[in-house]
Amino acid sequence: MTETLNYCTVVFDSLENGTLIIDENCIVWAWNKWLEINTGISSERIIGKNLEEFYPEVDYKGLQRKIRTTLRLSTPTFYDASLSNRFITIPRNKISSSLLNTMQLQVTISPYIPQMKRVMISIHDISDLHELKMTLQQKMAEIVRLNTILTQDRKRIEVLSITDPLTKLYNRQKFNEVLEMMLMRKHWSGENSFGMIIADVDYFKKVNDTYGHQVGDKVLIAVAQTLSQTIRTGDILARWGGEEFVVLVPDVNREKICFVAEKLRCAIEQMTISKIGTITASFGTSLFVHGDTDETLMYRSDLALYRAKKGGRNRVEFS
Amino acid sequence: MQESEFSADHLDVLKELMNIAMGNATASIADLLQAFGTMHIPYISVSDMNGLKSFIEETIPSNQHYYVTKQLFGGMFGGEFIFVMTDKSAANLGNYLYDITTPEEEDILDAVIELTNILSATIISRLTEELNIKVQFFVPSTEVMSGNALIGVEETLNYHKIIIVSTQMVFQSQNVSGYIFILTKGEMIERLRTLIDQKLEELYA
Repeated sequence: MTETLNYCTVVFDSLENGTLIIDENCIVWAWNKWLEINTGISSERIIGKNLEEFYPEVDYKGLQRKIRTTLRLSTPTFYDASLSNRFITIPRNKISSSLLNTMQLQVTISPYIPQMKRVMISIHDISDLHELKMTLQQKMAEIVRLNTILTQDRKRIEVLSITDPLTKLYNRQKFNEVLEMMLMRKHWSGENSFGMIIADVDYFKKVNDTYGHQVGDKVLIAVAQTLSQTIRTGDILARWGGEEFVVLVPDVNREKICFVAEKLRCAIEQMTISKIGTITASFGTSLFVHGDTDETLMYRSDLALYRAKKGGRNRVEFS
Repeated sequence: MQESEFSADHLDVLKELMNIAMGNATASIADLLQAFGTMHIPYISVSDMNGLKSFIEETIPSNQHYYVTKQLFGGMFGGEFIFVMTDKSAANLGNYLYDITTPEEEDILDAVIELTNILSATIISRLTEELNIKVQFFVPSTEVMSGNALIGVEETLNYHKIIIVSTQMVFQSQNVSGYIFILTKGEMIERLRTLIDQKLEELYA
């Protein structure tokens, strides 16, 4: 009997986790070696005493309820004692750097001698796990942050790749892409086709030579804004290069495309630019016909623009 | 195992045993937490993961956040006990158990685990007691998630043929309610069937 008891004591003290036996009034009946080492409280000091004398901060109402639950159910119950007042606080004496000052405890309350209202409480130090979780959460937050930046950057690059940096309109590359798609669509007919408008600012070289390139750029920005505000929803406006702008105009016939171009011409004519005053632009328009390619459509629009320039500028021509 | 092998009789017996176990759980909660509640008649079915997903979609609104506590149990019979509460219910429980007007996240988690301990211990212990076996419980874990994330990819891979036992628990005075799911699979379904057969023999002997 004594030998068995000795074995039990040896086993109890050899456990690699904190184990204590306590009754429903929180009087300590056993306190193993692990607890002695990690709390600095010897079993001689604590056995027979109330746990509250050593750990007054613990929520004893909650703890006693958990002990009663275990005794009533006759099965172990578990809880995570991460909160400081849930169970005894044990300092974490780890030499290596640690995010936690006290141990994070996973507590299991098992029935010990139910008739004496005693339970065995096993505490497992899950600080490493908590630390890992915290590190993981930090890393996850960092990944989310970097991913957001990456998504924003990707969007910005995407926008930059299709935008003219000066006027913020679509660039030539994007315009060609859209034109190609429109050419591929089969449903265009004479009365319901699409057209192209090329606009060229009149005497732009003179503006640059007289007022300098900075003013020239301001003119281009102002023209872009005006064109942008005047085109219809669904029309595609882009900067072709230099002082030339292009517009793809879907669902039009000859009359309609000329009307759209005329509206754009009037809008430019009515603009007032500081230092310069007013400016004008010439417009060449063409309509898609069966068999057209990007080159043939562009050629006809260019031809119309040439005629507009030749005819005195500030006018719309169709070809 | 074929679904047909788990007959309507087996399901009836299981339903009866679950009724007893649920009664036991409400009595224990009344005694331990001074909260008087009711549990709905359990729904029991043999299903696959798609069936469980559809069942959860019908039962649990996906647009809310839930405290989901999962606890494994094992032995001659094993499975997973899942207790699901809306965040509002969980906060009410934390408020009730810890007597705090605005409980902190840890208080809520602790309260949810405390209630899960009682529920799993009483329901599963009573069920297994009726089947003349004992089981061991493993440490539960709680996560806050949305309704549609209740069943993860991992579980879809883990469970193929499953038995769903589901009920709703309501404590009106405390404004606390929750859903209970008990999932078991594969060999455990086979064992459960054998244990129920033994129980039937015992009853009709």
